[in-house]
Amino acid sequence: MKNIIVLLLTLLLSACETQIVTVPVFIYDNSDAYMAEFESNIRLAAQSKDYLIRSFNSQNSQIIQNDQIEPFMNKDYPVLMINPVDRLSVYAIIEKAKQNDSTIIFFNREPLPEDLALYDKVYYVGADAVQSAQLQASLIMDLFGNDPKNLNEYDKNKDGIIQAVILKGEQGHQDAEARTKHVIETLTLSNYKIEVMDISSANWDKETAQAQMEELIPLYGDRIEILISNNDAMALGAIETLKKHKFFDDLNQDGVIDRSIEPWLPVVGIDGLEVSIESIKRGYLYGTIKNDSESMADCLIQLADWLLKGKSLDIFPYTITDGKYLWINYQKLSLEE
Amino acid sequence: MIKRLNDLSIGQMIFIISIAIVGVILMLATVTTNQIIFTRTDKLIESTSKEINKQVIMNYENYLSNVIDISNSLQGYIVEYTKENNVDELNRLFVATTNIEKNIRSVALLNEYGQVVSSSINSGINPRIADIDWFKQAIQMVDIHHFSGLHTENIIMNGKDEVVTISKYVQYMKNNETMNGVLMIDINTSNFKTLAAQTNLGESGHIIITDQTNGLIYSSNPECTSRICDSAMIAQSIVLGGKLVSLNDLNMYVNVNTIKDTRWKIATFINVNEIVTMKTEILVQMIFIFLGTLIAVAITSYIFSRRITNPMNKLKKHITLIEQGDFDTRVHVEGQKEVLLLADAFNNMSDKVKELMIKVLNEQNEKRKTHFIALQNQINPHFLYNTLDSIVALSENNRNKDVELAIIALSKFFRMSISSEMNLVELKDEIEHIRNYLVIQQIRYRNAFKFDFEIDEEILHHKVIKLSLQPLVENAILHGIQPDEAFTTILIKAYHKDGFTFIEVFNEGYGISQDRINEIHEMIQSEKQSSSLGLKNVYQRLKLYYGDEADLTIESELDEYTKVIMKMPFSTEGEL
Repeated sequence: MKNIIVLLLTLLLSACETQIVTVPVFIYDNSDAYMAEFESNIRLAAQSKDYLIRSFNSQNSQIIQNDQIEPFMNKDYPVLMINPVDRLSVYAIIEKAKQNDSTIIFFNREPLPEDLALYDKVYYVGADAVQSAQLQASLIMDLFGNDPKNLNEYDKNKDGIIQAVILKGEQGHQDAEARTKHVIETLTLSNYKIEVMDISSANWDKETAQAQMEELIPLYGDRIEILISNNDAMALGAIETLKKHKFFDDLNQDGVIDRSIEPWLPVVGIDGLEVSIESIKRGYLYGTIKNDSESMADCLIQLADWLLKGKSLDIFPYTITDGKYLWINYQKLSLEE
Repeated sequence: MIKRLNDLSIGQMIFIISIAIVGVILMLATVTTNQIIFTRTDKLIESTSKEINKQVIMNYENYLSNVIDISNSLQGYIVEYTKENNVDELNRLFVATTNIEKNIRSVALLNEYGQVVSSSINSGINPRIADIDWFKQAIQMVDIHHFSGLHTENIIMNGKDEVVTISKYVQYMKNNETMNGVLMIDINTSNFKTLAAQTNLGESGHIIITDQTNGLIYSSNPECTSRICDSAMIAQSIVLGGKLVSLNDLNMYVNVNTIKDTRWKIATFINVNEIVTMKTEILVQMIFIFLGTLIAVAITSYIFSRRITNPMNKLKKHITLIEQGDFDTRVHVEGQKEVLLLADAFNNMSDKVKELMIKVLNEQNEKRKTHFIALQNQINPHFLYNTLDSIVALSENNRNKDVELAIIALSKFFRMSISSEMNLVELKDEIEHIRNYLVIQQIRYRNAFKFDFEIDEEILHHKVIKLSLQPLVENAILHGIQPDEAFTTILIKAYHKDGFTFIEVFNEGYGISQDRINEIHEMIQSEKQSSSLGLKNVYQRLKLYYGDEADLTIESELDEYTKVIMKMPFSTEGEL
């Protein structure tokens, strides 16, 4: 009788031991198209690994996310992947992880450095907002001929200054501020003269940008030499309105804008959404900066795999900065690229 | 174990088994029910508390995100107006903001040295703002809004009212140059406090708000005034999530959560004492029910077992009485059917035993008596006188040889009669005895008869009743000798047939009429005591020793013969 119990217990324990580890993934909001794409990339990347991914939609509420995270803060879940809703609240999650000895990989929304410094088993996988702005500036320089002293034909009024309108993301948003600030800064540092005629916030949103543009066209209209958008959604929204006002005009009705013979206004975005690439191909959007969720997902999944296996991260394929940051490069996308 | 169980009485067994069964079942039922109730109430407490906590946080988030929204749009206007050097417009905007949004007490744009660039306040501005934490933080970490704790207004000199300051690094234009500055918004704390009071957290329920370093921002509990108060310590230990705690002897469900965009944590302390107390009450009640039922079962099984064991104990005592010879006491018991039947059967048995005992006793008495009579018959003094007379006569006639024979016979005869063997003797001994008797009688009656034996050799060792033949032979001599006829013959036969031993005593003579035979039969079979007739004595002894199977019959043919037949079951040994 005793032997049977012992046998059963051993079986039970061994069954537990061989259980596959689950890594929970918390996405700030699945209705964000970019994050939805990101999530499917994570799932795709995880297919080759021997642990399971279980993802949660935090519905853009930190309270919901906190609630979702709580049951996974124990030894059964050694690694958690969190795309925080509120990057400022992350310190509480980090403290909780410290209490439970869990490892956390944050991604796509960067916690404050002082919060990441609270605990050694936290990582951040993401792209540097500054880099996206720098690349966006580089795309603009490409457009104007890469010679700050001698701008090409896109300097419509030939004054040697780039007249720009900026569509900003959510006012006060870290990325919006950083992208806006650094795109101007990079151009200025590269000796380009730039006149920002207007910075208008459209909350990252396509429809808002569309409406915003209706107000901006009468004010600046033909003077706009470049429209810089903090993201693709607003860029595409602006293009809709510009099309309406014949700034884009498919004269030959071939469905494609040929910028050398047809009216065209350079609009540049950030994100590299599928629809943006489509728009570039059709000659509308000048260019975008791809926030590479595929590479980020790959980096995330590999990092979790290495952490679960207890491998030393010294030879990890992605560069680790300050023992915590894994920066994934943005990529320029335009017809020329 | 089994041996020990066997040592227990029926009553103890019934008691232990029923207590054990009921106890185990009740225990299981109590534990499962409690488990279910507890889990359910725990879940209920948790979900309700979380819901309330969410509600409180939403209130704060709505309230504070509204301020952030205002700050963000103000930042847009700051760039716009300062580009145009339109500081007056900015002042008016700030004043308008405080007018539209009543929670906002003051708005100001400060340069990087803490000096006012534009403000909704027109006099009494504090010149030493650069030293204040919220200003320094905004300059240090430029990309977020900073929320100060509750403090007395410090944008103006000698401020008395309590405010929360929201500060944010901004860029503004001065003479076409980008300048660094700080936008500050002071909000009244009255709403801050009413938000906490709006939610029903139960008696002593409260909220506390702490910053990212666990510094106390706000507490709706007047007893909690610093970061080391109990509530703050509890919130700090939980970090994030919900937990049931005991605070000042009250059960509180604590939820710690973050408030979006603020770097604040909020802990709601919800009084769930009633529910927790209810849980304890249920547990106590269950234990009472459990114990009550157990006691009831114990009492019932005790009474029930007594109904079985009591009569049994009575029976046991009664058996002891019977052992001591008291058959007359009756058992009177109360109890279940089986017990009553047992008692009845027992009473009947004791009656029967008594009856049998009396019977055996009577039989013993009877045997002794009949044997005594038989003995008496043998040593009848007349027989002795007569025999001695006959011997004297023989002696007178000098028939010395005959005298010798007679005396030897007489001596043997008496020896046998009074031998120690009481009841049964071997047939050969009895025959020897009768032979002696016949020898004596022959002498006495001067050879008036002849006698002969026809004894089956095989049955010589069969047991027969001692002194049973003599009365028959005596009768045969008496009725066989006829004065006119010289010789009569007495024949004694012994044989066995069908498991019976038969002994016949036959004599020639006038015989006895059938009526007389019937009369004799009737007489010997009757219960009436009569010592006079030897036959009756033999008959009685036959019946006493062998029971109904034994018999004594008389056969006769007038003027021919008389035959007395003794029938007894075959037996070779033993005393009956």
